[in-house]
Amino acid sequence: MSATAQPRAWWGPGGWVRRNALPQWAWIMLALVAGFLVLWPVLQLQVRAFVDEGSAFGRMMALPRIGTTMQTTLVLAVLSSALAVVLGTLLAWCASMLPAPVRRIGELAPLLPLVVPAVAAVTGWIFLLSPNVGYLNMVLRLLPGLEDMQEGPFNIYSVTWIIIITGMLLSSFVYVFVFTGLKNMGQELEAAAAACGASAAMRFFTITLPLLRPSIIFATGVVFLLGLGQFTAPLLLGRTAKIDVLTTEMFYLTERFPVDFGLGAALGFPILVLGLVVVLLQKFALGEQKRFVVVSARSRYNIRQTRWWAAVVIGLYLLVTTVLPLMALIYVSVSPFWSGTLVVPELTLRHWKSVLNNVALVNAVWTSVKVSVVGIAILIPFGFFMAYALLQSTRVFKPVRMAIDLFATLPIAVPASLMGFGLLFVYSQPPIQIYGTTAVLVVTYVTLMLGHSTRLQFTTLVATGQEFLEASKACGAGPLRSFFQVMLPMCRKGIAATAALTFVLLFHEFSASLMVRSARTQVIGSVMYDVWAGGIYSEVAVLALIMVVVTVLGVCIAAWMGGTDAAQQKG
Amino acid sequence: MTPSEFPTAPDASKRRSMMMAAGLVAGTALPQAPAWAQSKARTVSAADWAKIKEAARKEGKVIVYGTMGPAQHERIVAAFNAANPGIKMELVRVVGAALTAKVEQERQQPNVVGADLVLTADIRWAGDAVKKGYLKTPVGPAAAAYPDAWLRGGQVALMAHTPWVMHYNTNLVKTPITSYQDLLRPELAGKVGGVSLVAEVVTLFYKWLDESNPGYLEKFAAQKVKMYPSTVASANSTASGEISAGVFSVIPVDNALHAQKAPMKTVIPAQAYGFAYGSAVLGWAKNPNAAMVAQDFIMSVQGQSAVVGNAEAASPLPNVPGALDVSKINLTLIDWDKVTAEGVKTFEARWNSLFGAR
Repeated sequence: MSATAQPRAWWGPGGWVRRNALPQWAWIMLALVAGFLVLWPVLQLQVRAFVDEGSAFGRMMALPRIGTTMQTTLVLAVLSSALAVVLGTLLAWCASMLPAPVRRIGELAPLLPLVVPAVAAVTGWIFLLSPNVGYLNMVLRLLPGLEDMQEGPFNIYSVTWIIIITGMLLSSFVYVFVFTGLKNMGQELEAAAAACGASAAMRFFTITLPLLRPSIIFATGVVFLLGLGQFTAPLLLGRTAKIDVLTTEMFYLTERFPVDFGLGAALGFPILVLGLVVVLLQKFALGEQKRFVVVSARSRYNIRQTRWWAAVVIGLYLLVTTVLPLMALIYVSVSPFWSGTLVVPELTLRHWKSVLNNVALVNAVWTSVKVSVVGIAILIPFGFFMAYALLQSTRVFKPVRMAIDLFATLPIAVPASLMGFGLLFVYSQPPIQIYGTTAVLVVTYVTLMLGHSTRLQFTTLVATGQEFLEASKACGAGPLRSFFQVMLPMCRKGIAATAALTFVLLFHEFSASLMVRSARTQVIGSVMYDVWAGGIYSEVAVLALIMVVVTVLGVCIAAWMGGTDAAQQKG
Repeated sequence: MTPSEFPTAPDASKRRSMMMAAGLVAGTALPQAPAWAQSKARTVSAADWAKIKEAARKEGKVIVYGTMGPAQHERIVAAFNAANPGIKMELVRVVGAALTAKVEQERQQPNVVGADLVLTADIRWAGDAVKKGYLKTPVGPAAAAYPDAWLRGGQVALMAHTPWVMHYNTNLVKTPITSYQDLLRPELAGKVGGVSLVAEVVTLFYKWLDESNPGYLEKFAAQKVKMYPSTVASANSTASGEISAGVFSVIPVDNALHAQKAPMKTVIPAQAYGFAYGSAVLGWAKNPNAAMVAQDFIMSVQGQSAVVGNAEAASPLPNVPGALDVSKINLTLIDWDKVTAEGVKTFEARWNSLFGAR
């Protein structure tokens, strides 16, 4: 009998499952699980759009004002992301020019709006800029020349203000990316330009800005995707003014029975396609990043002059985006009702008591915390291994790596509201019927944040490098020992920073939660919407403030676990 | 006005409202029990009722989904829990048509611990649910005594007859508003609020407004009405001064703001239109005995007193403390026998074309 005729062994050298092949099976399993989580809901939902010869698209086109809705969606995405990019870049530039005494706090300040949930910030803005009884509007009407105005001068229930508020909410994300790029960028070229007599503004527009192109392109892509799927501001501000976007149309479908999943899929299709196109363009535009590298290490030059007006700009930004809405929320939370007067009413804690004594509301807060913590417990290792698989130094079959890359990208490209709608569809029917349970929220959160967890930990792994791991192996440590005693401790701060950011994003999660929640399985964002729709604005303010407090606590705990500077690491 | 027990002559609605008012005020039984009345089916022996109550205590809780105002819910929960130690009521407020959507989703999810009992304004859905066998016939002492005329399909207890009211901010509106026509005043343009079509009863209100005041809806739409997602939201906006007046509210919601000394006045129109809530036990209830006890409580005088509060709604039962005296108002209730899905859909399209919102 020839050797070739022998059956191949299952185990051992030359077998199907060799010791060095085992990790490949693990990577395949990882890709399959990630694929099921991420791809399955999107595919299942989109199939619904095309059954019955695409009749869902016919129903979509028959919706009242669908043309306006599509136009608003696109205009909102384009203009809010443009505003966010300009504002975020300006903030990053200002942060790079902060005088030493305020540098540390000033660099953190543009991140503070992230602590305030979008739903809370928008609510705060309603109290400020409601045309008749917004506190800021009322104050402005006291100014000379505006005394005769009966309402305004601003109307928050308009497309313009939805764009402005969305842009402001997204600007912190741009700041994170651009400021990181700015900080890591060498200043040799700027120094050369300064030596040639270029002014600070000239250097910014001709040297700094072009060199920041990768960061700006990446940030633009991210905020455009977020703007495209924007849900909170249009839902809370658009309803009374009859302004809709595609995601709010999808949400309204979940409020009616039977839920027309086909129509929802058709509504989500343009967003999905546009999102994927943006991700591809982003990858294409960032293809040759080496062109933008000035020096690989932190620059020896620091030629940027410090300016106190930069601190003023950042202070103003903080005042407008965070302080004013929070003050409005605090004021309304202790008012008997939202009253259209600047005369301080008899303050009361009855709304705080009412919320804290309301079992459903308190349960929702705890559910948010629990689901966020469980989600992080799953996301951190899951994302870590996916990030590890994406490292060029990790031996992974190329198709598997590509698949993992795709599954880490998809949750970022697909808006949370669309993903939530898909998850509602998939998990409301066999084989996995978990609608109405806490499990559906955990699965939703893991699916939504898998991309963020992977990408953030990927940057940590890249920054950590492989040298220490290889040294550990060279010293005789096995892979597990090297992993737990070398790799993990070195990545601890990065992982803690990822956990902190993930907690913020999960605890603030609103769009997908609103889609998949049931009447009794609620998180704080979804009950807050119910209370808002129910119209008890003082209780909305209380819930918004509770969200802020819990977020701050969560970030502090994560920062403490990872070391004091963990929370800043990603910034 | 009462649902199905009266002949459905085209001009019967006014006659019905008067009969209802007379019946409620005088405390007399309503005439002609419908063919599907099942009072015997609702009767249960004292021993069996004790068994049901014991089983309910073992279940320990009852989950209710409701669309009434927050204050009404609070009263119902407090009264039930006080009267039924050992059974805790959890009442979840779900606004508008979302209640039906959530309940139907739960019906298809056998593992979900959801509603055992619903308090809904969507009586067409409830009527369909009776026909499809989704509901259980209420049993118990109060259920047995409940007027047959107010039990739709023998299973849905109609209650809390609620007139739709208007309201206005007294700081902003100096000439009192007394009728729907007053909302067309030029100075109120852009300052009047309404509720968008979040539930079928809201659609039916606007439909009634349109049919009983030809040409009104076009003029009203020209006032650039701001549409809110709920009655409570609209009322709070009136109280705050964001809008000066609201076309659509109910007394319980307004009363909550009156209690806070909001500068707001509630107006019951001379020709008032209204609706009744329906309470029903779901066939797939996870706490069926507790649901039956809760349903019986809500159908009792004590339960009805919690529902109607301080003259916030009328009750089909006589001598309910605090019930709204409908003899003093000209109230017509929705005639659900005349409501069809097609009719609602057609009117929604008309409404959308006028108001540009869902």
